[in-house]
Amino acid sequence: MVSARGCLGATGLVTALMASMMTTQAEAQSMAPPGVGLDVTGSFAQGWSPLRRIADPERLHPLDLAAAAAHLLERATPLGLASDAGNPAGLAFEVSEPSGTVVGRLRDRSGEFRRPLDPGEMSGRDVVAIGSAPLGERTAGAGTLGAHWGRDLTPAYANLTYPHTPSPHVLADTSLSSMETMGATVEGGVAGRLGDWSLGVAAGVRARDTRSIAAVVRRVRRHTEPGVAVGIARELSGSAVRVGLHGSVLREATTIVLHPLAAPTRVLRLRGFAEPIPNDIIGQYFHRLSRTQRTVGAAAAGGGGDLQWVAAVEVGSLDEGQFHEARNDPARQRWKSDVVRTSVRVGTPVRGAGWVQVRAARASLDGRAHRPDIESATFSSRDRDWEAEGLVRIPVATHWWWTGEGTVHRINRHQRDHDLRVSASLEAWNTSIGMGLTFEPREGLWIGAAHKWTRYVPAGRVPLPSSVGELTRAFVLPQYILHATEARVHSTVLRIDYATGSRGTLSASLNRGTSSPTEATATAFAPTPEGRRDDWEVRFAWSPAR
Amino acid sequence: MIRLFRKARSAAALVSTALTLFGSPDPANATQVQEAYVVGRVLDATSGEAVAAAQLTIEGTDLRTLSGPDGTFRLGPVSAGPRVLEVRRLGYATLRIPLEVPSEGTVERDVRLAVSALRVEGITVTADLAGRARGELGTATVLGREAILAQSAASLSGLLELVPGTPLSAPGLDNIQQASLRAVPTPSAVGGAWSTGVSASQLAAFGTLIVVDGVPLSNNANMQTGGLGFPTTVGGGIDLRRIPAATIERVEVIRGVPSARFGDLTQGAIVVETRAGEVPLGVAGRLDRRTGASSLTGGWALGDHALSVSGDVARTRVEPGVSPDESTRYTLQLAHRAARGAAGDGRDLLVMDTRADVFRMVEDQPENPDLFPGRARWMRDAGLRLSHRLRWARPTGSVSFLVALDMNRQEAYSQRFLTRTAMPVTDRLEEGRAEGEYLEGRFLAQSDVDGAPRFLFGRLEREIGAGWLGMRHEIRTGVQFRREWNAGSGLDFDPRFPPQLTFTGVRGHDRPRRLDAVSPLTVTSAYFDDRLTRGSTPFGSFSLQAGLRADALHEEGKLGGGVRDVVLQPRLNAEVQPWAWLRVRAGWGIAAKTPSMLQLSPAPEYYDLVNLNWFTDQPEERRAILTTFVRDGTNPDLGFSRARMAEAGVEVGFSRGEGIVSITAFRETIQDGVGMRSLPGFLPREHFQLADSTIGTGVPPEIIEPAYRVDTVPLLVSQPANHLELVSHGMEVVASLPEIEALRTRIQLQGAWTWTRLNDEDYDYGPVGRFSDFQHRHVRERIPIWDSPERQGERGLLTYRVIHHQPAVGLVITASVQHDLYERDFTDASGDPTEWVGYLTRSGERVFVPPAERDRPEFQDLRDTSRGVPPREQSAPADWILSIQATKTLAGDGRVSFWAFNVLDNLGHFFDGETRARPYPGIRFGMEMNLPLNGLGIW
Repeated sequence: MVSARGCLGATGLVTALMASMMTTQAEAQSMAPPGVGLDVTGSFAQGWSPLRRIADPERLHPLDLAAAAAHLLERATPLGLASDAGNPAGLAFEVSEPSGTVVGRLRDRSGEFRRPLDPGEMSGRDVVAIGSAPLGERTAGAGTLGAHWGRDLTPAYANLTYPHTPSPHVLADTSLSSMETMGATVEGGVAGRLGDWSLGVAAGVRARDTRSIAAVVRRVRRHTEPGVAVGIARELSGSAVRVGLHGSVLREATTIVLHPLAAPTRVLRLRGFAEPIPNDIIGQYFHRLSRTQRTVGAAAAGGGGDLQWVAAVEVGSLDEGQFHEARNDPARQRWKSDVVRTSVRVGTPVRGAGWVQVRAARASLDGRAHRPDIESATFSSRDRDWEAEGLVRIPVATHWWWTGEGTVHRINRHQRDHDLRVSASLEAWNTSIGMGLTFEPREGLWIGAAHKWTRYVPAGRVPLPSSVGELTRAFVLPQYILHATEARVHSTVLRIDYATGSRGTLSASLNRGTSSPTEATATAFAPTPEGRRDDWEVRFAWSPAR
Repeated sequence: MIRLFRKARSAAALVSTALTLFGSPDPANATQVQEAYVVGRVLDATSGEAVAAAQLTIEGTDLRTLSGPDGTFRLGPVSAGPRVLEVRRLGYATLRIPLEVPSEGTVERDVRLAVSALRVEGITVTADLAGRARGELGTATVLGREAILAQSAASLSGLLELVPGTPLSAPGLDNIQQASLRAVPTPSAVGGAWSTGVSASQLAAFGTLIVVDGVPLSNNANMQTGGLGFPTTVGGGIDLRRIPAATIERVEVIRGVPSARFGDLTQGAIVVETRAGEVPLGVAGRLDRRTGASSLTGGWALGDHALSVSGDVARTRVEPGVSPDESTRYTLQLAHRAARGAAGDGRDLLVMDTRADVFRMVEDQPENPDLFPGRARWMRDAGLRLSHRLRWARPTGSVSFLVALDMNRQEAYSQRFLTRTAMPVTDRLEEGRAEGEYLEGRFLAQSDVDGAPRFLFGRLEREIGAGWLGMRHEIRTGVQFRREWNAGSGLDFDPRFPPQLTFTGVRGHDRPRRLDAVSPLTVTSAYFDDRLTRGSTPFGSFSLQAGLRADALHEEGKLGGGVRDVVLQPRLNAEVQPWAWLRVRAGWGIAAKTPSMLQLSPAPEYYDLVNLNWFTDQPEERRAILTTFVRDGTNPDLGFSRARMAEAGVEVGFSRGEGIVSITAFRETIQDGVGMRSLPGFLPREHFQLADSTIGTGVPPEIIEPAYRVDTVPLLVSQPANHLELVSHGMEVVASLPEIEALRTRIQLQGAWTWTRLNDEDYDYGPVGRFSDFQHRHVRERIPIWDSPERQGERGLLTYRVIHHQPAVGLVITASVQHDLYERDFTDASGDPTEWVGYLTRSGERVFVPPAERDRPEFQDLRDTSRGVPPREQSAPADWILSIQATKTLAGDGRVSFWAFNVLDNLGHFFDGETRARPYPGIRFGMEMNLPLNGLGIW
């Protein structure tokens, strides 16, 4: 169950914000903040997406920040029920004119500063088309269509499902097969207004097909994530405030088939800190994972005078099961977790074309793993994340804009293995400062550069068990070592936008990020990882003229 | 059973009878028929301005007109009933508009054209569920261009998912694709292990006629069998992978009783029309994890001529990352149309269509040294089809002449390592005794089959449209000629290293065989068909289509060599429309299918019996003597398969014709279906003594003639015969609900409950192992035999489609749910030890024992429960899969689509010892793009 205290706290926060903002009487106005450049977010994420994973997100590398500076040169995402809170009913209020962007992205990542289940080298190609448009007088819609090609080369070990989640159940094998992925994402939302009310629905699917490349152990991984969200919203009469409720269901199914045709392989089903039992595979091996995320949320957004704001809370649960036989609905190993996420964003135009915003978010997760033979939890995780961000973009001279940003991110993770009676706790701070400068030498041409510095500081010790098995030491503990290692990250972006008039706007940017350890926090079981990790990303975008 | 004129000496009389029908009716005798007209304006959907020179036609008729400068048009007279108005204009998407035409008066319908059909309100992007094929009254599913574009398909097979009862499948070229209408699979193959019979699905596919651009495709001359096994469509329908979906303009699937114009079928007809004429130049591409494809289509008008070209390249990797197997297809089509003169009624006096179609299909399974060293096989089919059609406009209709030559090349190769003990072999091709050669160890067996099917088709047809006796008649009468032969060099391998090592007695060994020596297949046909329509009767409007067809199969493929079999095929379809919202219809008919060349001339079977096997350590002292027997399974009585087709249906329209529900019940019986039966026999085997068996002489020993002992080896020879009966009956339902305007969403449903039973008149000779033991060991003097079991298959399948359309942005989203309601298969093979019907002796004689005597003590050795085909009854529980597709217009008529098959990755149901397995293919997804070459853009 969701923590009652967390839920009450989040609801109270939203209620307080609504109460303070609703006293301001003002005409509704556009939620789109001013700025320069294209309406492209750094991660292509759409706030209204039915494929958002608010519960149990795959834990990215804490230093996965190659493109962290990119958003310093982009127009800030609009504020609203759809774009911030994930309520598709908000599209009816927030989409007033057609817009669209096609983005191409080339990525490359390499380096030794990584966890054992991360690929050694990774490259990716993405093409994403994002669009929104009114579909009539009272109806509006938005959609995304994306294609992805990627390669994970020379991994130390193969992660077959999700490698770094709070769940202890992770599948790996020792085949060293390089993998190639083709994926696609399609999602769309539509909302219609009926007086002050609006009703919206969004649906989408993300699919991935990953296969080995010329490997002796051939591997196929199919992954699908269909999701649907529905929402209702109301514009409070006499104010510029909109409130809404929404709910979503996101299902995932991952099917893995190993074909050790020419050589055997060893499958490891990791299970927390317990030493996994190796499973030598000669014939075909099958594994199935399914997850269902259910969320409900409430949000409010408004624009009083120049001030625009949105506050949202979402509570959800996630049910995960894994099975190693060719069946639907796996039930052998289960992982259940409850999540509460709250966020607030406030922004206001300054100095004409300038923009200032403050954002804060909190996420909590409480998860438990169960075996089929006993009811009590065998493993539990408790995560608490806080994040706060301030961003300022102001014109500093004729044709010059300056953007500054500061972010503080606090991470607190606690995991306990009830069978072994051991636990691990990690607390860390991610602090970053970024600055960007954009210049418009002539009308329709923008040139920008930005840099962001991030410092990752683990706090305290990591009291892991002193005696662990060989496989646990090889596959499980290194991720804690990396999380317990102080590091720094630099992210730089160069960008050019060119408006061609009737043919729309073109954009090109080059992003580069590096991360490397500075000082290790003492751990009892392994040395600090060394080396560096490099990320490159090149983006091209085109936005047709409206 | 209709079998008149059987064994008639010639079909010439039939042909001449049909030709007498070619005279034109006397217009003076025509009575006035009540008529209706379609009037309206053609407008630009965006600007609202009039569109001039748009071509409007009523599908299936010669009626056509052009819109005037102000966009107005008047088209008629149109006979009553459901009709489809087709509107074409270069630069706009072609529209098909269903109409309900009354018996008299006018139908007013304004037409709004857009560059992309997806931007037109109310467009239908799925099959025309209650449509009719052109000139046909039987139940049909019609797929227009929009439906084809909206269907993710790599070939014609993928488009057939819009036919009730057809399961959804992911697009690709990774397996042989065949169409079998109104039949479901039954357990195992006919005859079990005892013959190379066909399954129910194969039999149905073999009897489904495929017509492309007016010319039938045929698989009758396909003789690609033998060797080590490779993908082949012998005994079934043609491989539909050769027909790319991207170049298809229209598909008509006639599930009911086709008109007499269509022959060589037992299971319905699929009529395909490819893109030709003046079509916008465009390219299309599709990409998913397994399949990449691209195509180009364009057509230009050059005065009185029109030239079009279309081509397609597609490649599928069967299991990327796991297997190197792949399939590749290349197609190219050229079409030319020339028109001469004017007939005075707006038609051209003379229209000549010439087409050239080329395809090449390669299925490659290269050697995988890590897994299966030495094992490889490939299949390469290629074809060139030339056709020419001349259409001469006459005052009351037209005369057309069609001639087509289809030249194919089929190559198949397979190899694998085989290991044998020291066994004597011979390479004799004739019967007789010969010295054998000892070969042992591991060897690479290789075989290839080189076939070259040829198909010459000609048709002379007269179409007459006139009014008599207060009814409108659309008469078609014609004669057809088809000749098929195979010019391939055939099966080839080194007999000393054969692909078959073990002899079970069930089938003999293959030997190299030339196919160009096989007798050709010649069929002549004549047909008459009249479609009568009366708009006003006491029961409402009434349509009747009545026809008669005669097919004659000629002896040894010689036109003047006598007739081997003749079958008369009456066909009848009737439709009554008492009210505008109700149509009641029924059909009955007989159809016939020619046996294939391989069935008419099966490959001889070779049996090499070892008379002496003297094997010593010294190779020079070894001696083997073998006697080769050749058994020819040719059946001189083999003739047509015959099918009785019957159906009845009702269609209810509502919401001003936007909604429709149609229910059809059908029963189809294929009698005299061709399968392979087992003919028991025996071979005499001589045993010789040696004159001197001393070892170390350095020379092989001499034998003492004559043989000191002769025994028998029982065997079963496979023989094609008209001994199968396939009965299918069931119910089909299609429903299309009117669009929910507030949600811009439409729901369609199609489903079928089909039950299929397959019977054969052959016998079950028990497990192969026991028969082999019976052959080689003389301790058993007889073995029991059983009647062949009856096999049944049953399936209930519903497919729902939810279609959301946003014309403002040219967006269509389709969600398709395939709901497998029920699936069952059943083999009626009793395990009762007294169910045997007789026994087989060592001399190959079948002795039948009355049931009352089977429990007598002398038959104790025959009480055996282990039959060759075990009893089975399994059913699979209900389950469903979801597939989605989203399509968005680009600039012009371009569009981009995303599709995902089995988007939830439902694994289906797996065998658990009791229930029937029904695994679903995993999720597959991909994208498609169609781009006009006159402009690019997104919004």
